[in-house]
This record gives sequence, C-alpha cells and structure tokens, in this order.
Amino acid sequence: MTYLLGISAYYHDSAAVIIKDGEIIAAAQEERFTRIKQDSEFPINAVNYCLKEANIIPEDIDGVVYYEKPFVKFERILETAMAYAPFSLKSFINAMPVWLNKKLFIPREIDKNFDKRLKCPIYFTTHHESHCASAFYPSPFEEAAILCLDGVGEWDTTTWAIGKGNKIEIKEKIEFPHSLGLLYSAFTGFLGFKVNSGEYKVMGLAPYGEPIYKDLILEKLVDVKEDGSFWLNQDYFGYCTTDYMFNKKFEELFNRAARKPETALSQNDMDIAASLQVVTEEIILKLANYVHLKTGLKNLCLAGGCALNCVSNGNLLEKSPFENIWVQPAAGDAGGALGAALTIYYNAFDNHRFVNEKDSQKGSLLGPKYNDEEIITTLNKFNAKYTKYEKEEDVCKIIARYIADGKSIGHFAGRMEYGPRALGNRSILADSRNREMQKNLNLAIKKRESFRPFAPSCLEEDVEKFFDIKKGKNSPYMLLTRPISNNIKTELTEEEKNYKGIDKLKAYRSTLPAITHVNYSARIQTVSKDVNPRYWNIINEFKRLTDCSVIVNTSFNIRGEPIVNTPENAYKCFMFTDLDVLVLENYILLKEDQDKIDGIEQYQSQFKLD
Amino acid sequence: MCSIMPIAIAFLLYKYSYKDIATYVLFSFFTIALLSIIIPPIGFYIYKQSSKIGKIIGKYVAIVALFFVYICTVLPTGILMKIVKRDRLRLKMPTVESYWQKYENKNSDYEYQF
Repeated sequence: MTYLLGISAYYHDSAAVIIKDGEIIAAAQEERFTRIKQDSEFPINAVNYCLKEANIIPEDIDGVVYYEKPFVKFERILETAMAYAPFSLKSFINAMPVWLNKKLFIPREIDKNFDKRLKCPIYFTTHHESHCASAFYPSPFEEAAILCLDGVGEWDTTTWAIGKGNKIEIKEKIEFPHSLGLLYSAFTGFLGFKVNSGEYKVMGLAPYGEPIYKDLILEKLVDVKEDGSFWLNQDYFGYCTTDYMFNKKFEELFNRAARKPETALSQNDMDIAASLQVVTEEIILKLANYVHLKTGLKNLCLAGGCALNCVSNGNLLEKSPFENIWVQPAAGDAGGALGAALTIYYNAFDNHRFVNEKDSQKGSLLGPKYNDEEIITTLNKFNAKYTKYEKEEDVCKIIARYIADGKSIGHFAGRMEYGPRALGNRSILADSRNREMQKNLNLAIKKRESFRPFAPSCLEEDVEKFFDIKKGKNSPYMLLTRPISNNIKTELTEEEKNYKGIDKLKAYRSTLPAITHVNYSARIQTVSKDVNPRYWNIINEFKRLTDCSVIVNTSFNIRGEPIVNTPENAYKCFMFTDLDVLVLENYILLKEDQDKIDGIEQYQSQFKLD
Repeated sequence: MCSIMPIAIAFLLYKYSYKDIATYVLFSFFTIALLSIIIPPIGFYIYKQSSKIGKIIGKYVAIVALFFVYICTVLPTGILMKIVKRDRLRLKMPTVESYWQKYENKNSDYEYQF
C-alpha cells in the first residue's frame, strides 16, 4: 500500500489530503479546525485528521507532497522586485522575512510539524501541475483537455494540458503578472470586497448591473487574442509592488475612487461587476475554444480559483464545443494538496489509473464525521434540549416537514465537505418556495449582504423540470449556474420590470423565489441518491410533501466564519443566529426549547468580515 | 547563548577598564541564574521578555539589513536589466500573435524545490 500526503500551505487555504493507492481517503482545509477563514498556516490539524482517518502514523507515510516549487516562486518574487526597482523596495522588505524564515525551508517546516517522525521523501510539484492533476485524475474521463486558471502559482497563471490515462502533459502557459485571477481580484478589491475571498460576491453582484465598461476594460486593461490568451496592462495594477491590487490610474480610468468596504453599493459598482463578469466569461470561452481546437477532445476538466466562477462554467457548458465538463470542487489552492499527491502517485510513480464513471471525488465528502458519543458530549456540555431518533428515515421526514413549514434548518450529518461549497452535510436548508427566505437567510441568519443569492439543491432526476440543463449534465458540486426553466418563471409587472440595482430583489421571478437570482439564474447542486442518500432522502421527502424537489442550500456558517466542522461549532452557530432547528445526525434541537446563552456579540465579532 | 553573552560583555568591559560595570553585570547575571535555578518561573519570565525584546530588535535589524540587500543587489540588477532591455515580466505589450508560451515539462524534478 502506498500512502501519500498532499499539503498546500503558506499562501491561503491551507489543506491536507491523504491518498491510499490513488484512492482519496481524507481531505480537509485547515480553516475548518482553526476557525480562521482561509488559514494559511501549516495544516497540522488537517494532517492529523487525515492520518487518523487513514488509521496510520507519520512513520507509515510513503511520501509527503508539497503543492508548489518554493524556489521557483521565490525567483518570481525577486524578478518582480528587480523589474520594478526602485519602486519595489517596500514590497521586497515586507515579503522577505516570511520567505527567509519559512517559505524557503519547507522541508524543515514539514519535518518540524511532524516532530521529525517522517521517514519518507518530500516531493514538490509545480502549482499548476497540482491544479491540473486535481482536475483530471478524480474526473470521470479517461482522456480530457485540462484548463487551469488561477491567480498565480510560481510563474504560471494560466495553463492548458492533456490528460490521458495516468499521465498529464501541460502544453502551454501564460505567466505572471498576466493573470485572469488577479484581474478579477483587482476588481474585487476596487469594489470594496476582500481579495481572495470576495470574488464570488462580485460574481453575485454582476447580474444587478449592465456591462457598460466591457469595452473600456478590453481596450485599456486587458488585451485578448482570438485564442483567448491575454496580456494585462500593468500601468493600471498595483499587485506587483504594493499591497493594493490596483493603482491610482485604475481609479482614474473609472473616474471614481474605490468603494470603501461595508458602504452602500451603487449602480456603478454593479455595472463594473457586470462588465468584469462579461469580460471574464468571454476570455474563458475563447480559451476553451482554443484548447478544444488544439486537442480535439470532447471532455474538459477545470481547476484553479477561476474555475469556481460557476457563471462562466455554465456559459462554457452551453457555448463551448466540449461535450462534458468536470470541475474540481476544491478548485482553489486547497485542491492543490489533492493534485500534488495524485501527481506523484500517477505521473511520478506511473501507477495505473482506474476511471470511475461518476468520478473519484466521493461527492467531495472527505472531511471528518462525528459519532453519537461526540455529539452527546457537546449537547450535554451546553445543557441542550434535544430529541434523538433511531431511524434516519424519520429524521429526514421531520426535516422535510420543518422546511415545508418555513423553518430554517442547520443540518450537520456525515463527513464534512472538501472545498468551499457546503453540499448538504454542513448546510443550512430552507424552503425555496418561500418569498421571504432570501432576505431572512441573508440578514437574520447568515448576517451578510442582502444582494447575495442562494443556491438550490435539486434531486438529480428532476433537474430538468426546474432548470435549463440537459439530462445527464449534472452539477453535483454546485459549480454550474444555469437559467431556471421557463415553466417556473412568473410574469413581472411593468413596475417590476423597471426595477434597477438592489431593487430588483423586490420582484419575485419564479415559483422558487428564494433560489432565483435577479437574472433568472441559479447555481445548481444536483443531488444523487448514490452519493449522498441522506440528503437525497430529505429532498425526496420534501418533494412528497410539496411536489417540489428543490430546497435552499447554503453553507452552515455566518459571514466571515469558516463552515462548521464539529458539533460544537454547529451548536454555537445555531444558538447565535436565528436558525429554527438544528439537526446533528439523528439528534434534533428546536430553538424554542433551548435556554438562551450569552455571548452573541462576542461570537460574531471573532470572525473578521470577508 | 544567553549564558555566554553576559560573560562576554563583562569580559569586554573588564578589558576596556570598565571594571565596576563588569562586576555589576556579572553579579546580576549570576544572581538571575541562581534565582532561575531555585525558582524556574523567574528564569522563564526573563527568557520570555528578552525573547520579545530580541524579536522587536530583530524586526528592525531585518528591515535595515534588507534595505541594504535591496540597495546593493536588487536595485543595480534591476537597473542593469532595464539597460539591457530584459523584460521577463512582459511589461511592454509584446507584438505577438498569441500570448501563449510553450510549457517545459520537467517530470523528473519532483524531489527538488526548483
């Protein structure tokens, strides 16, 4: 047996993954354990969990794989400092200490964190090798084109590759500072959101605006060739030499200052978001067309942070020549840990690859699971009032009933998800038909911006009834946005049609208003009975009660908080928000039965707003 | 290191005729050392505080040292690169049909950090 441990760390989204003979045994992000969003420290808690899940000790590991090449990245930082000298002095002085203390000594850091118990070699893959591997090896394809789009690894920001059997060959690249991810992040910062975490908010904001700046962006900021390759005009960006992603000239281009965080969103903010999203979609579509032209393959695998742009993914599904698309659910740097381990197992060790016809990601349910004893200990610790049910079927029926009655449910069951999306096991569930649910969930429960949409979970077999998606084109990881079906759309009044900006939220556009975004789209999760039977049962029971097989699924956390991991995290989130019901495996807690506990402000303030 | 430093300082002071101060330094050092042996938390407290001071000093020393490294290496190399018109970052828009570059696969280098 070969155990390989993949690690990503020291940038953002630290994570660890253990694979055994190529099979993913466990994977988790460090933030879930430390409760620090996008924790970048060495993922020691995630590593310990992985070893526990695999039932091994550090001495049993056959190889530790780090997800990038530190020296090459260091070279890029030095080259950038030299290219911008003398204006790079500050960034050089800021960056060097952490490099000289830690990042240039990764083997020492790994060894130290394992208390010098490792008896195996440490391997290093390149950042984009890791991403490409994370997209291809777990995919259901024997052969596929791979497109990897992210901020930056060592030098590469965009690559395409061909995956065949157990081998991946990267063909072409675009290098730093020309990066689609950094372009998106620059606008994220400009629009007052946190870089490296607020990008999905920009994507959610885009449908409220008009893409009136599209031509300006394409003329001044980014030059795009017909083959999708692009060049960013660094006169407008600040990320090479400062802590800011954009500079004064960027602000002058849009004739305004950057939005201050937490201030009201203007129509102009929305128009800029819309313009950026359109440009991004166009570039990605051109890239996909080019890769298809070069490879002639019918399957496409996507990874890198930009692959989390589910609107663009939906666009690719509709407009690109690829027949099938598979996106790594942990497409960001956390997924690099998985790709790093898989690269060594297949590419370096030349092991045979078995292709699973669904995929080998196991529904991305690869994190910790907690047993009855651990749940009861938590509940007793907080003197919680609960009811235990013996049969899971009964619990599913009760949850479905509560959802249908308009209650919001914190659902905690099975293994935690790997990647940024909650896929049912650490989720807040609610009724998609409820007109007030979007507002209630955003403001009273999630404590986040009112414009943000919610995603639907739908029975895999019913997806065509509600969404404009072809049969068999499933979206098990909530990574595709598609229009809702015409038969659930509702007619808008003339007044409603004229709503602008955030006012668009006032109109109910479908019979499922809680999951319908203002442009009639939805970020779909298709739920399969084989992959997550309990979650499928809940939705199926809801369907039995209401004739609707779509519910709201949003991550079980509040703004700035990592998704809950332990029963204690779940209980606290339940108690300090307006959630009505908490389900911990087969234990059900009602808010009305619980004694109030103090510390709500303290709880919320411990998480920095993202 | 903590034990050697005060002794070395005392020796230097003694050598340069600051005998009173050298005696004072040595006396303080041995008193603290003795106290730390008898009551370990005292030694631990002094260690923690001196570490903090060391870190603060180190931070500023690092800034100064990095400033000189930058001035002596990065800046001249950067200027030289500009003179020879080396543009590794492609900051000037290249006149090319495509911005794609060929990727060199180095599959055998997994044991190296470069």
